[in-house]
Amino acid sequence: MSEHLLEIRHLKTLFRMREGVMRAVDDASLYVDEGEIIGIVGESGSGKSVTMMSVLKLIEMPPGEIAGGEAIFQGENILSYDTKSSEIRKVRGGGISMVFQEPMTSLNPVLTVGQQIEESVMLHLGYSRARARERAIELLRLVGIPDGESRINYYPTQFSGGMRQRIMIAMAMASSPKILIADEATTALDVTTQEQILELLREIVKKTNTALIIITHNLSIVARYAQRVYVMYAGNIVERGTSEEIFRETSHPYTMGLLKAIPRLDSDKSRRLVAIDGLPPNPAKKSGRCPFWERCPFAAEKCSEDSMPPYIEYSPAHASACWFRPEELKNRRPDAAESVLTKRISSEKILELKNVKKYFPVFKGVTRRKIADVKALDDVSFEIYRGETLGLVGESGCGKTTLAKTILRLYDVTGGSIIFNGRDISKLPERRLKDVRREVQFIFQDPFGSLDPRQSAGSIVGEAIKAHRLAKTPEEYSRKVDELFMAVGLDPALKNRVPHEFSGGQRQRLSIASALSSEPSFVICDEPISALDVSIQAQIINLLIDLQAKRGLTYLFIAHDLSVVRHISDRIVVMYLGRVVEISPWNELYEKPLHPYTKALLSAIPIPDPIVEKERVRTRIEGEVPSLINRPDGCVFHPRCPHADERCRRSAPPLSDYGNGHQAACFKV
Amino acid sequence: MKRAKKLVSLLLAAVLLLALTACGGGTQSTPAPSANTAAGTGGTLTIVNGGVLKNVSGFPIAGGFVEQFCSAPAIETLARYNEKGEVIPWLAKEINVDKANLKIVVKLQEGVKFSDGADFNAKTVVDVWDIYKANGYASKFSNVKSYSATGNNEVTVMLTQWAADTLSRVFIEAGWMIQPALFKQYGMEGMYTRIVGTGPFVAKSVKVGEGIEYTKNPNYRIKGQPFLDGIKIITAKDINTAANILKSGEAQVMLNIVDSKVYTDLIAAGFQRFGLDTCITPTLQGIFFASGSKTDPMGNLLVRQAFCHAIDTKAIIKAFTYGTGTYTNQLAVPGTQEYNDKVVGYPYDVNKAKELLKKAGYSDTNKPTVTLTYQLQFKDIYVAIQGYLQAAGFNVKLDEVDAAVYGDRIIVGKPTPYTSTAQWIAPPNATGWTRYFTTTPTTMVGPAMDLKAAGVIDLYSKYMYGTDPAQQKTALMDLQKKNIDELCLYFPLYITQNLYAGTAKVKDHGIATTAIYTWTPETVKITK
Amino acid sequence: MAKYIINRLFQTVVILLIISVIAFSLIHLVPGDPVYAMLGSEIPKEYHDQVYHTMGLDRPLVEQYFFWLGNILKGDLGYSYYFRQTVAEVVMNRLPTTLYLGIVSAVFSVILGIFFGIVTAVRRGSKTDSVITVLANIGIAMPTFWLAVILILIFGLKLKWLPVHGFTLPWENPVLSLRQTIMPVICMSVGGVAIYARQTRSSMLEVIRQDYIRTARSKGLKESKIIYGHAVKNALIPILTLIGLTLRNSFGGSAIIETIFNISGLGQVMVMSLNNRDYTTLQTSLLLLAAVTCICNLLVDIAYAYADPRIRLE
Repeated sequence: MSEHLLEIRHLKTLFRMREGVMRAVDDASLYVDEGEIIGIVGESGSGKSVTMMSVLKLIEMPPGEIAGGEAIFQGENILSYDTKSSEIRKVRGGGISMVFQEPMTSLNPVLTVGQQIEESVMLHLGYSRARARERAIELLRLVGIPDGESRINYYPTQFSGGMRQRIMIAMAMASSPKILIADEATTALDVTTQEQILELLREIVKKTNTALIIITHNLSIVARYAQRVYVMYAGNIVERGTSEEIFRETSHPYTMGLLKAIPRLDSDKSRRLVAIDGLPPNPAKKSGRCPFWERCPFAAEKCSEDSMPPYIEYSPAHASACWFRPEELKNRRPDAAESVLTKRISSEKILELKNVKKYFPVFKGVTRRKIADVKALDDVSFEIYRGETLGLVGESGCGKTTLAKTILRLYDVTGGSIIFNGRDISKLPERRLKDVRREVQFIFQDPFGSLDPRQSAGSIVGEAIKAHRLAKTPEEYSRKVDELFMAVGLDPALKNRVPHEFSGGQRQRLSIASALSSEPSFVICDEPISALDVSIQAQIINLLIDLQAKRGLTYLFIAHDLSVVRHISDRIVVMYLGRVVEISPWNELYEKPLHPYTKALLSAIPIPDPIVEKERVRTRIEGEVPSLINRPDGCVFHPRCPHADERCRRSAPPLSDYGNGHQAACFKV
Repeated sequence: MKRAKKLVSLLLAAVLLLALTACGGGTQSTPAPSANTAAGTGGTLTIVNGGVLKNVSGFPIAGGFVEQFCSAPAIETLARYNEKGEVIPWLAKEINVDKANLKIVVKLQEGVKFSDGADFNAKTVVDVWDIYKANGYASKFSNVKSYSATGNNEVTVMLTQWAADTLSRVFIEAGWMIQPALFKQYGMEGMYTRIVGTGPFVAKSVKVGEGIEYTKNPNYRIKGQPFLDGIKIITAKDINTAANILKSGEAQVMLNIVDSKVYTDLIAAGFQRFGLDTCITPTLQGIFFASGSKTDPMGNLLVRQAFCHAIDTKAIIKAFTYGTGTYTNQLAVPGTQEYNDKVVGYPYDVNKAKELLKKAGYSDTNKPTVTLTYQLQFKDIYVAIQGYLQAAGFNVKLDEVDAAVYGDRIIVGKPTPYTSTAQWIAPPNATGWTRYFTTTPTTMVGPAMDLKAAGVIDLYSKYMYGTDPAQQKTALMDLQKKNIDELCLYFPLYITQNLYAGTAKVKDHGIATTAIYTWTPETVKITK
Repeated sequence: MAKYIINRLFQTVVILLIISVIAFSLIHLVPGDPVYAMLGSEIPKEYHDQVYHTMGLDRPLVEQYFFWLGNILKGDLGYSYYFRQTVAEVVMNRLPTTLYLGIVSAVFSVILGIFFGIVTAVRRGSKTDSVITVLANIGIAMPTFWLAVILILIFGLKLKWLPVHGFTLPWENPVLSLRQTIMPVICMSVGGVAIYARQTRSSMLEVIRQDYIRTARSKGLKESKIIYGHAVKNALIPILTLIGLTLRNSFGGSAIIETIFNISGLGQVMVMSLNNRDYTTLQTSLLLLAAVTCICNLLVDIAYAYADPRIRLE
């Protein structure tokens, strides 16, 4: 019935909720062939996960309902199978397998890893227990877990996140499925681990000719790995095509918008990120017209008509659901000032860290003896100049959050000094910190959890004004609050709403407004955008950059996404296991990385351009990030470093300057 | 999954159904008192105790009336009471008191054996009495000079002096004929599981705190008896449980019904009362006074009399005893030999009470304060009494205690005697008053009152140790009158019976017809 | 793991010692003379003194304690003046009864309760769920003795299908044993079934929402395998705590049920010895009950460690 391995035709899935009928997937069609890697890209609410889950009938029905469409897999329409039937169960795990996002909770904690893999094998391949065990050990080897014979009896808690995801892949591959679906499989992992997993998947595809469907919100990943891409928005597939076609010959305004909104490792920063205005639509309120209409800068009268735009085919693979061709698009809303506002960086240091150490003691036994220290920060030194943005990157366990908290004096330093505006604040008693706290503000990662749910937005934002007595009259207070709202792009009329009535992006703006309310000079941003959708991230990044220029703020920008950090920062500090391994100006980071770890980190991050990706020279990195308790002696990175020698094992290299402010801690530069 | 569940629930239902049908229709679980057509012979009588049995043993003298009742199927006494309360021989063949009332010759039945095969003869009697004397029951032989076996089946007892209760004391109370060799071998503690005697039944199993099973003694000395095949005595943990067991037919007799409500329910449900009002040793509820006290108002006779007039005893009986109490104004059961019709007593009269108080020098502003000490299970009655007293102008304090503390109050020699009033539970049989009216009483009757000077002790001695029945009777009558009308030494409330109930099918049981703990297990029949 | 067990054992011993001191002091804290209280105030003075001495009440307090404790550890649990047997005999005579009833009720409660819990969780929101949940709530709210009395009234007195008292071990007389134990076991299990059902239900509901259940489903496993092979194993971990409590109850015996159905069990022993001032039995029963509770807790802790590998591997 179909020439493809899996073909989905006009799938419609809805959820009947109290608020209304949510059209999660609204007429989606796609296909996969054997041995292909395709990517399905979209933001939250785009319907990308629901599409594949509907095919396998894994959504909860009720309230979910498959309202139409077919899914032809190996000649049969599997949508016609009953949810509890044995036919669909044969497909699940047997023909089509899925790997999910959360490796920490996706494995049953009370069964051994072996049992969980063998289960799949015995079910789909009909092996005996003994044969299944052998196959399980084989699979563990396939996914790169050594010592399969002994590890097979371990429980999931004994593995790290990256390992667990590998086990999930092993489980998914157990029955030699025809299609493997990776649903945001790497989102929760560290950057280097992410790369390892994705490379593993690519190898498996090569070895076993399994088709791979990568579902993600990260366009860059798709650029590196996928052969064909589907872009979804609000339940519809708005553009499809080969990787090159999507990235180089972008046709749909949404895809264009996405590409303009994400920072690239290799950009020259002359181009400002262009955010997509507005918010993703509410799936309960879908009308019959183009879903992107309200946010589209090229929207014309035709687009407001109440019918879906048809697919314009540009090539056998490439099509776009838009009334217009790219050359016909007229920009109704010109991009706001393309130029980057100039900011001034002074030579005055606002913050200096000198040999800062933060150790956490480990107690054991009934007598609570201290047996070791967890060295979260070990001899960290750098400075931040007034007016600049210093980016701080590293993977889990590197100490960046500890550092932020230490600067704020939420922790006391174990050693070293922190000099802020000329004063050593590491030793100041609590009561003298009030001034410092006014000057130094913090923006958190989680826009949901960091705002008091019972306070009104206006009151949250104005709290610091009251605390530091910055307004002398109620009118002045009110005026300041309104100004702050407008500064972050929020309507002051929303002052009286409570946080849960705002969207994620709006809440982050509130956090920023709240941080600015005490008129600080220094703001620490700890992963401020990682919880937001891609199209909103750009808005917030631009906002932060503008505010810095307007108010002369200094930022310490902490994140794990190196592309974003590079885009917003003037200088970048790279940390690994509590030590600073490299400090680099932004324009030398990607072009001339010095430390092996930095090189590996950069390699792991894809660039949203498939052609550039193919031509990149990348250094792979093996192994996983060790835990802080088992810190290696000598150079912290030496166990994973391809260039390590005896000297690296024995002594820790100091931070040396290699010109232009570019420092690295390595003997082998 | 659905099918598996259905199967399981079906299975469960089937099992349950089977179990219930296996019960059969309407039959009772324990071996029923199957009535034998031949004149009601055979069958097992099941008796349930309305509380927990304790201290039932092969040493009945140590037990209370319930324990003695339960040992009676196996162990017999030398003598028994008749309906008039006189002592007649039972295990003994003849009991002859000589004219001087100082020598008693006992002739025993011949050829009697214990159920374990040992012989019962005069030597046995002497051994048993020796054991009693040596193990704390010497008081039973208080006026016995000596005793000896003067023949194989003859025992002679020499007295120091006569006392009215000599025969009952020596031949009934101390007349339980246990197997002396057992006691010598196992000691007192061993007797709690060994109930061995000459009686119509043999103890098959004794489970302390649970019950006793008796089977017919095939070698019983009276041929043709007993009629029953066995007797089962079970204890119930709770009186309501016991009532249920009786109602469900799993028992035919319930003994020791201390809760009159339960009793009335059972009667209403069709069961009969077993026993007579006039049997010996029911219980009298009353109040002791600190009759001789110099500090407490109760030392004043007028106050005591006022106290008695103030309480409406008949109303209390009606309200709290569910009709099972008998009114009396003295320490005797109306209708018996010991009752003195001429005693006036103190009928309910509040005004009289107030008058007497005034005469005693009290008034509304100066009320006499009395303390009522009582055991907590009688709280209702004493709260009512408090009400009456307060209405008559008394100040009343309630002193509610438990059994252990109660003992500390009323037993002579205890450090904290009662000083005002105390609840009193007494036997309304004069022979039981040695605790009160002797020169060495064990229980306090009127602390601080000189009973000797008041003549009480003399009168009692005349009754107890006199040898002339007419004189004894006069003395007793005088004593009753003196204690109540003259001295107001104590205040009787009412007489309760220790109640037994059962089905009418049980005949010739003799339960509580002569004395509260006696019955005739050898003649019991269960009819259809 | 071994260290964990040893640690817990040590704690248990300390707890028991403390309780032993309390149990021991009972006899001296109550007003009045303990011997008269035990045996009645009618007994002859010589007997009273003899018992007083045998029980060691004339010795100094501390010496009495160690004397008593020493005896218990040697196995001499004392003599019960109420039951006229050694306390050891008293306990051993009733232990099979209590154990049998307790274990049968416990097994019933656990199996039926967990079964209903799984059913209601899997069919959440359906009529079955509503009916069973309502019944469960009634089961928890209903007092045991009330149910007992009702059952006796209907089945024992009115219909006369079942005997209202007594107990026989099943190997002595299977049919009689069954008939005698149906009602007591039902009374003892009803509350338990309800509790287990509710706990299992909420535990299962939580587990069913977990990611690993979604993973299991995506592997194509049968629904029944997902429920019983994956979900139940996780859901049962909190049930272990409940089982520990139930075990302890079965040893303590249900005094109320034993009283109403006239069964001689350990629960009754405590009540009777309390009512009759049988101090020796009371002291030992207290200690016994405490020991049983501690052991049950310990067993539950160990079972926990085995059932949940996360605890074991800490």
